[in-house]
Amino acid sequence: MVTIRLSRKLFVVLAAVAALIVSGSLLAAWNTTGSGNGFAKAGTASALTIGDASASTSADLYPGATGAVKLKVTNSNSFPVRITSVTKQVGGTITSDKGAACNASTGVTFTDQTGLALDVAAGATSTFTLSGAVSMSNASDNTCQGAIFTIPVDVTGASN
Amino acid sequence: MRRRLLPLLLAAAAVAFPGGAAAAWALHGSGSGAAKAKTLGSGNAPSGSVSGHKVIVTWTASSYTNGGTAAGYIINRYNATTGVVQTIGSACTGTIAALTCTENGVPAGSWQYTVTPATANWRGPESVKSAVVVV
Repeated sequence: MVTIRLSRKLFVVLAAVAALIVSGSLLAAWNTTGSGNGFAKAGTASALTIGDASASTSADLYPGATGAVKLKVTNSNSFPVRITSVTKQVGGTITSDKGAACNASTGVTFTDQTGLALDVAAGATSTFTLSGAVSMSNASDNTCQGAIFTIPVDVTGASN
Repeated sequence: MRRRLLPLLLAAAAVAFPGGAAAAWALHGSGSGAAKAKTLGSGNAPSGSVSGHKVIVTWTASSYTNGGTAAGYIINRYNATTGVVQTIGSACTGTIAALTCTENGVPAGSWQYTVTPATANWRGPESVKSAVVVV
């Protein structure tokens, strides 16, 4: 009698776990990566979208100085997200809107940002300021004055 | 039966879900951040004070957009009659961090000075010429 009752319990537990695995609702919560645009779908998460933040920049860089990076993030998911790191894309090149002479020697360096807590609400777009994230060396070309720099980055976060 | 199966079940769950039950969605994205550079403002017209063949040139600081001042200044001397730039004396050559310099051994003549803000490779617009300095 006791043996039969325990087997039923185990069967129920195992069946529940199996159902969650098959539905994808549990496994999907552990691993999802990607870049660019995506769309929401039951049991999946969309990648964060990084938009053009150039309009919100404030001129603060000059040779020998540090400055801020503006980052515009759209979270198309139905849950809030916390961004924890922003790193320069491997092999990515920082460019400007001033053309070849400046691009050949922007003097701009991005410092990877970790330990962040940048929150984006569900379905929202937020623009963040990463203070001190860039610096400009004395190598910056004269034509870089007034330039807007484009800094290729990867962002990492998690549902919050 | 119970003692055998429960540990097995827990072990299977640990393998299937190593992040634990409280794990969150891991999310990534790629794109671009943006930053902007200042612009170096124009030089301010200097003044010259003559003492024999020595001219003391002074000027005021030039600013960037959004504040801050240039790291240094480049001084030029022009022939006031022809407008041709001259080779300036050693004490006023190169980039000068101060707001004054003294040019020694200035030849007799009529001269005008200008100031160009300079920070590393950056140059601001040259100032208008100073009043004529007669040596």
